Order: sequence, then C-alpha cells, then structure tokens
Amino acid sequence: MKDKKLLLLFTFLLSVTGTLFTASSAAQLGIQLYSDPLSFFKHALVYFFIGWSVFFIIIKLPSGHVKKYIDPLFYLSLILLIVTLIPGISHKINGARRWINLIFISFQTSELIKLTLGLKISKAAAFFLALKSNISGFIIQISIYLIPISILIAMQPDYGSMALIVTTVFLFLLYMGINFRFWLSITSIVFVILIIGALLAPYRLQRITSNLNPWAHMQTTGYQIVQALYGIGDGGFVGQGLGSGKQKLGYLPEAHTDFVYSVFSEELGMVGGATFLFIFLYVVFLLYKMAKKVTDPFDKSFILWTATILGLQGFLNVFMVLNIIPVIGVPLPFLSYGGTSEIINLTMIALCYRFYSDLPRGLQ
Amino acid sequence: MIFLFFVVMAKQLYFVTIDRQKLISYAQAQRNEVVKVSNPRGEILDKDGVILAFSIPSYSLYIQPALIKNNEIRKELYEDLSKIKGMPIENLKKIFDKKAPFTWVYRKMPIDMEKSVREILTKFPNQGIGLIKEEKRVYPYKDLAEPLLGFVGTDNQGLEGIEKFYNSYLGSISKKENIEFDASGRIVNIDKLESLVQSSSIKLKLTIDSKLQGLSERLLDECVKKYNATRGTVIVVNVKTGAILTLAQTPRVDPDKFYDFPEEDYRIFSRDFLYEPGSIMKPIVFSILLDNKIISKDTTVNIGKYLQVADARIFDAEDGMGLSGPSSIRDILRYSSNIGAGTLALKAPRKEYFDLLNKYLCDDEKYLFSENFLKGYVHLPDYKGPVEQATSAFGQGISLSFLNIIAYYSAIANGGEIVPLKIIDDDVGTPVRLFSKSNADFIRSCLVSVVDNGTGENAKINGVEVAGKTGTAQKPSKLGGYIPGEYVASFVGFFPANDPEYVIGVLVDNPIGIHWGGSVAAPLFREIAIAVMSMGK
Repeated sequence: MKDKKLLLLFTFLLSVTGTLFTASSAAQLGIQLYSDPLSFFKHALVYFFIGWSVFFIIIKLPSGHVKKYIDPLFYLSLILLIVTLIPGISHKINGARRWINLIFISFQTSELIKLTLGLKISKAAAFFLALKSNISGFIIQISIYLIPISILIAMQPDYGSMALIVTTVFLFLLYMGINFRFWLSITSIVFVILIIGALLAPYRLQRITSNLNPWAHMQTTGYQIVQALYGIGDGGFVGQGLGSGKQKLGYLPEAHTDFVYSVFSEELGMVGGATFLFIFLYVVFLLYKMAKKVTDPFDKSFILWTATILGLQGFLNVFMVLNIIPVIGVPLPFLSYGGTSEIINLTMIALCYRFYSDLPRGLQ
Repeated sequence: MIFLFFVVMAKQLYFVTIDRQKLISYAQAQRNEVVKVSNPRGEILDKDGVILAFSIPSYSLYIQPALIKNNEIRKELYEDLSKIKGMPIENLKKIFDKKAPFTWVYRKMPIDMEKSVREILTKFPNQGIGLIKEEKRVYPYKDLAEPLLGFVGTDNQGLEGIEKFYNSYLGSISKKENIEFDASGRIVNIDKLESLVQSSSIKLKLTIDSKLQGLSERLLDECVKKYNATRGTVIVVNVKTGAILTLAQTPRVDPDKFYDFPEEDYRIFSRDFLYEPGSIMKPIVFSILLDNKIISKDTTVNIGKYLQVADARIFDAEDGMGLSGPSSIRDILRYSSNIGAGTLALKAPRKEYFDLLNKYLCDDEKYLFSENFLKGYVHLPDYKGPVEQATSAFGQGISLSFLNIIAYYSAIANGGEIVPLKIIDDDVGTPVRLFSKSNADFIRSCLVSVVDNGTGENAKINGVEVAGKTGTAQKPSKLGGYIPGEYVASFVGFFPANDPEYVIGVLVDNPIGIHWGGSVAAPLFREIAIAVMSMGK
C-alpha cells in the first residue's frame, strides 16, 4: 500500500482507539462530574468528527492556500497565548491557565502553537535552506519567536508543553545541518536554563525527587506515579479486560488524559499498550519516510517537524507514566482525551498528507 | 526510535513481572474491604420432603457514612430512616456518627420495612446508602421441631441444633467477600455481591415426620401446661429403621427470635441433659443381668418391707402397689419394685456388676446412634459401693441422656438388636446385637404385663398390645441427696408388642401435683401412640 494510504489508515486507527477508549477511561469522572459515564466519550466523539472533517477539508485544499496564511495564523496563536494569561477570558483547571473559552468550546492555546510554530519554523527553514545561508541567522530568527513563546507557555504554567516545543526545535536544528559541537553547546546552555527554570517552582523539584523513589512520597508528590504503576502492574501482560480497570475509579488522577497509558495497560495489558505504541511509532516512522522523499524544503521541514513533535510527545508521555522521567504534563497523542490536541494532531497529519500529495505520483 | 521503544517495553516488562505482586497487593489494599455476606444455604426437609427450613433473598441496608459529606442530606436521611417502623434508632444514630467506609444498618429487613426503605432511597441516589441482597433463613412452621432444627445467626451460620451440627454441609458460614471501593468510597462490585445469592441445591432430609412432630408438640405442650411442669420431651422412633420420627420438646425457641429465649431452651433436652432415669432403668439392667447369666428368667426374689444394704435401707416407692413375698422378674417390673431390682443387682459380684454397666452403657454407646449429633451423656456412680450397686438397678445414682434410654428400649423392642437411631434420612446404620433375642423377648413380655396389669395401665390401648415402663425419678440436688418434691415422670413404651415397630418415650420434668410416670407420662404416651397408629403407620 502507498505510504499515504497507510498513514491515513493508521492515523484513523489511533484516533478511533483513543476516542472509543474515552468511554472507559473517563467513565468514572463522567459519573462524578455530570452523572453520565459517557459524557466525556460524547465530547470525544464530537472532537473526533470535527478533527476528521478538518482532516478531509485540508487534504482537498490546494497547498498554496495553507501556505498563504502561515504568518497570520502564527501571530493569531501568539495573541491567543497572551490572551490565555488574562483571567476572565481564560479558565483555570488544576491551577493552570491553559484554556480560553471560545463560544462553544474551550481551547488549549499551547496545542495550537505546536502547529503554527511548526509552520512558521518550516517557512523560515525553507528560506534558509534555499539560500544555503548561515545557520546562525536562522537560529536568531527562530529564537525571536521561541523565547517569548516559551515564556508565555511557562507562565500558564505548562512546563511540559514548553519543554516539548523547545526540545523539538533543537532536534529540528540537527536536521538543518548545524555543526554538532555548536549544537551541543547551545543545547546544554538551554538545558541548564530549563533546569533552573524548572527548579524555580518547588513542585517541579518535588516531582524530580519523587521520580527517583515514588514509593517514599506515595502519599504526596509520588501519589500520581504510584497509582499509575499500580495500573501497569495490575494489567500484566493481557490486562484485566476492557472497562475493568480499577485505577481509573478515582484513584489515578488524570486517568483519561496524561496517565491514560496506565489505564490502557491495566485494561488491555502490556500487549495492548505495546500494540498501540507500535502503531503510533509506525505513523511517526511513515512521516519520517515521507519527509525523506519530499523535495520541497518547506514540505520536508513541516513533515519532519510533525514527526518529531508527535514522536517526542509520545515518548515523553509514556516515559513519564512508567516513571523513567519525572512527571511532565504532556498528553499521549490520540489516546489522551483532549479536544484541542485531537484536532491539532489530525490537522498536522492532514497537512503532511496534503504536502506529500504534491510530490509527483511516481515519486510517492 | 526503536531503541526508545524497547526502553519503554523493558520498563513495562519489569512492572508486569518482577514488581507485579507488590503493585497488585498495594492497589488492592487501597480499594478493598472485607465484608461478610450470607451464602445460599441448603434446605432442611422432613422425611416426606416437607420443607422445615429454607432460605429466601432478603435485603440488607448499608450505609457509607464517610461518603455523605453534605450535612443537610445527612440530617434528612437520618430523619427519614428513623421514621421507619422497627428501625433501631439508637443504633442508627451511632452509625450516622461513625465515619466508617461501610456499615450495615439493618441486616435482612422484613419485607414491609424493605419497601419503606426503598421509597426513601429513591430520594437519595448515589449518596452512599443502599441495599445489598442477602439470604434470610425461613422456618415456615415457626418453632416446629425446635430446638432440634436449631437456628442461624445473622451471617447465616448455624448456631444450634441441626443447623449448627450440619453447618458445613448446609452451606457453611457466610463467605467473606471483598467489597471494592472507588477512590471516593462508592462500592464498585455490588452486582458481584448479589450474584452470590442463588438458591442452593443442597437438601438435608431428616427422618422427622412433621405431622407427627407437630401433633406431639401440641399434646406435649398441653401436658406440660396441665401439670405446670418445667419442660417435657417426646421421642418417637421406628425401631426397624432407627429413624427418629419425632423429637418434640417443650418449651421451644422461636428460631427467628432465639435471642429472646434463655439459653437453656436452645438445648435438645433429651440429648443434652443428664438425668437419673429412675425405674425405666430397670428393664435395661435386667437385660444386662440376664444376658450375663447372673439371673435367669425364672429367678425369684423375696420382697420384704425394705432392703438393707450396708447401712442404707431401700424401700419400694408408693406406687409399688405393695408387692411382697417371693416375686418373679415379671412382677418386679409390673409393680416397679425397687427392693426387687436392688436384690437382683446385688446378685452380681460388685466389680463384675459395675464392669457390666460400663460395658453396656458406656462402651456400647457407640452402637446406639448413626450420627454423633445424637450422642448424649452417660454417668456411672463415682463411688462403686454396694448401695450404688443396688440403687443403680432402679435408676438412682446413675445418669444418662433420655435418648440413650430410648435406644436401649428400641434394642429390647427389636429382639435385642439395635438399629442405630438416626435423624438424617440417608444414613444406614448396621444393626448391632446388644442383648440375646430370647432375653429381650422375655423382658418385652414382662413390659406387656406392666401396661396390661401394672404401673403402666394408663398407657393401655384397646385392640393393640402395648409394652412399656414407667419411671418416677427424684431429681438429685447439687448439694447431695434429692430435691424434695421434684420429680421426673417418664414412660417409655413400644407397640405392637408382638412385633414392635415404634418406641415412644415421654418425659415430663418436674410436674406439680401428680408426679407419677404412670399418671403423667403414660396417658401422653397413649395419645401419641394412637396418633401414630391413626396416621397409618
């Protein structure tokens, strides 16, 4: 089968799985909040249809249309990021301001910036790649966007998303053909800055210490990770059966979002978890494969950006759930509940699909 | 990327293998609580399949006090519940004050109470209060065959009688079930708890004939009431099969409200109470003496005014009807002469006599019953002197359970061979010979005379030959000697005398006014015997 079709098929599979699994992972929360176990599932279904409508609209649009609106879209999302920090317009969940209320839907602005920054960086990259000019100019240009964006996201606070975006940008620089030693030096500097920034908030320091031994902090900062591990352990190889997970019954916070992999593994076992991850990584792999084939520097850059940010996000999430790294709040693409995330992920893959389609058929 | 994937899998593999048990046990500890829930319990049937005890689904009200956070709801709920008739308000108050994750409010509610509770619960959905299906023991005939059947406690465990002895067969005590809670404390697995309650296929069939049992109980109640007695018991045994058709007792506990009765009433009197049998012991001792050739069928005894044994004098009781001069074994039984019985007993060397008593009454006890359930008590005199030798022949200074007496009588009635007595229909005991046939038949014919023309005349039934023996025993005092004015009146008989089928034993404890076995117990024997016959047995 053509890579394009495979991408469509597996993305659809991931998206369907994630949407359906909401019926299980968020059932208890639905009962608690709305007395309806399926309320989150119903929402997820709406996002699913919006996301896929967007997907099919995008792949029918001429690519030129999309590329024309990169700058306005980027600045709009920047403004939205600022707006997010204004109380009254935005709303707070768990102490963080990450959402703004549009008329009918609340919207997570840091998700949108993943897309628009990707487009903006790809545009800049295409320009520099075409001119074969000095990389430092490019670095300075993207730093102008990246620094304020990072600060804005960190202020929400959504350190996880910020770290994800910054890391993606640095991985992206490697692809740009940057001198490795130079890359290493600036990466370490930024890394140190990020660590210091992380330690400024005491709860992040606690997250790091509880990562080392969550059992010592199981009543406090280690609680979430310990509960997640209960689910993983309980699931074993083949799981307790769909819907039979116990940790989602209020024990595991964020069972339907950041820690959904634990619930998924509890109900479908390591086999289920591995299968999902495998398909997810196959999608990422397909994107890399497509990026390699694509010749247009902008298209190539954007597909690469998408593959990197999705893959990285997936690994960060699962690493977090399995206590390999400290808790950072990034969702698992497609499996975690989240309207904005679902729509943005589908949009990004749709754009990749669209740009790849511009390649002459024989080369696909 | 592939490397990272393997890192993930390796870590997960660690959690699902090496660390798994630890994780599971921790996780279960935080969401489980063990609660006892009643299991389905088998039925108890009579010999014709009439159900004497069964179980029906019943609902228990539970509350999770810690869960009701809203004080107004808490107050409202408490007020509504306390209005229900029969709700223990004191208890309810305590439960509401307690911050327990799970507490029973009322186990196995009556139907009308359940209805009113259900109405209230519709007003408080998801408030940490609800019903769980359990099982309730039902005794459809109320106190019929109590305390033989016994009763069960709240957790369906057998507390007394058949229910206790056959507890593990009937379904054992209630299972301990894990109740799973979610993090807010709501019960997760209510369906699972309810699915445990299904009807049990276990049936325990007794030899009891509930019609005869019921009739005997009624007659016994009347008799006990008439003589103002403390208690009484009636036992009907089929000597051919060993089946106990009736084991009636007065007073009886109500199995639903057993806690309102004194514990003494929980006991099966004929099995659990040691008593001095008095004259009904004579035929048993005579059979033993005859079998060991200490006396023969035509041994005669010269009966005087009293019998001097060591420094004690033995008199005949007032109902001895003035037997005097040379008397046969038949006459000694007919007139129930203590002097005669004592003299016969003294014919044996003392050591041999007591050894024989020990062999027949203690060693042979294992042949008497099919089930340990029926096993009673035997107590021989501690001091084995000549006085004890003489008195034990007429049932003084020796004590045993009434059921044991009945067993020896059924052996005599059955030609010396006992078919072990049984209460469980399926049991088949091997017959054991206790006495030789000719001696047993001889004693039987003597006992016919007792009814025909002796102390047991009140047991006579026209058209049927009845054999039997009266007993009027004094009640020993704990301080030594006997309690003045307190007697146990008894009668054990069997019929038809030429080929006995039924043994009926009647015992009335402490009748006031008349205390003679022949006057108190024999007429009741007669009534019950007529009932047995008229029931076509």
